[in-house]
Amino acid sequence: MIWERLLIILILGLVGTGAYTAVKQRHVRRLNRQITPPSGGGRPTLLYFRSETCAVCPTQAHYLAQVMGDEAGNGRVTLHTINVDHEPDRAKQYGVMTLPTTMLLDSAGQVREINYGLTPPHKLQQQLNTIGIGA
Amino acid sequence: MDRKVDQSALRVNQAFIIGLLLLAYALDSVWLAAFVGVVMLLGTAVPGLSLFKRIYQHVLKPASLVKPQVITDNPEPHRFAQGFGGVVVAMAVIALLAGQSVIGWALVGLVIVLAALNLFVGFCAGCFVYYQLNRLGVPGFARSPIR
Repeated sequence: MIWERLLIILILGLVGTGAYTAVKQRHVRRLNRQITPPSGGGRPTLLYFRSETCAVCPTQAHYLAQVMGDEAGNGRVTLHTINVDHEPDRAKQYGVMTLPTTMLLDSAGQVREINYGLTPPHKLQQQLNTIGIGA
Repeated sequence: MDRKVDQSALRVNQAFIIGLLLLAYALDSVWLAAFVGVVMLLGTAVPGLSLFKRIYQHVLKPASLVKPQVITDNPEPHRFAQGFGGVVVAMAVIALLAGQSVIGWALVGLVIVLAALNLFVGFCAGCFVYYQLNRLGVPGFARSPIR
């Protein structure tokens, strides 16, 4: 009985994790196929989707300011903030499902990372490191 | 009231809820599910008595096992989300005690999925419902999102 149930948990866990990973990868692939990236002036770009009614968006903005303060002081990353209340079509185009959402585009305009929900500065920093920005 | 929320406390709480409810299912233990439901409801009614948050506060944080992540946010939607989860777990326990194991464990599964969505994806379904009710002007849902 217990092994049967553990097996069910394991299978559901694997299916859930696999589905999440697949949805995220599909999202990245779709964006890279269909979207014309905003001009980042040949620099990596952070896209930040927010709204007036998103409770944790001010915190996300603070985290981004922190990361940009570290990096953009030397002009190496461009930040684009998109208010989905004012630009709902753009949010739809980018497939934004939850707020805040942040996306990291490399200097070629390819989406490298998508973060659903509040993303702490250390994670953003790690992602910037993977494209050669930062320490 | 202070408009601060420690995200780490919420995440630890969610991790405990997910872990213990999975264990309850694995062991076929209605009483463990009932225990989690009581902890959730008690923590909603009296936040200071939230057992899993206390473990974070008194064990995990002092031992530096989990770093605090205090952000500006409304605590009420998160409490509502936990209370809603607690009610669903209570309904699950009633179903299980009544011999309706499929319905009971399905309700437990729903709470696990919603807590996992919050923990791993950052989407708080209960908070979303709270803010929708706030927009509709439903009494008791006084907090609007922080601008």
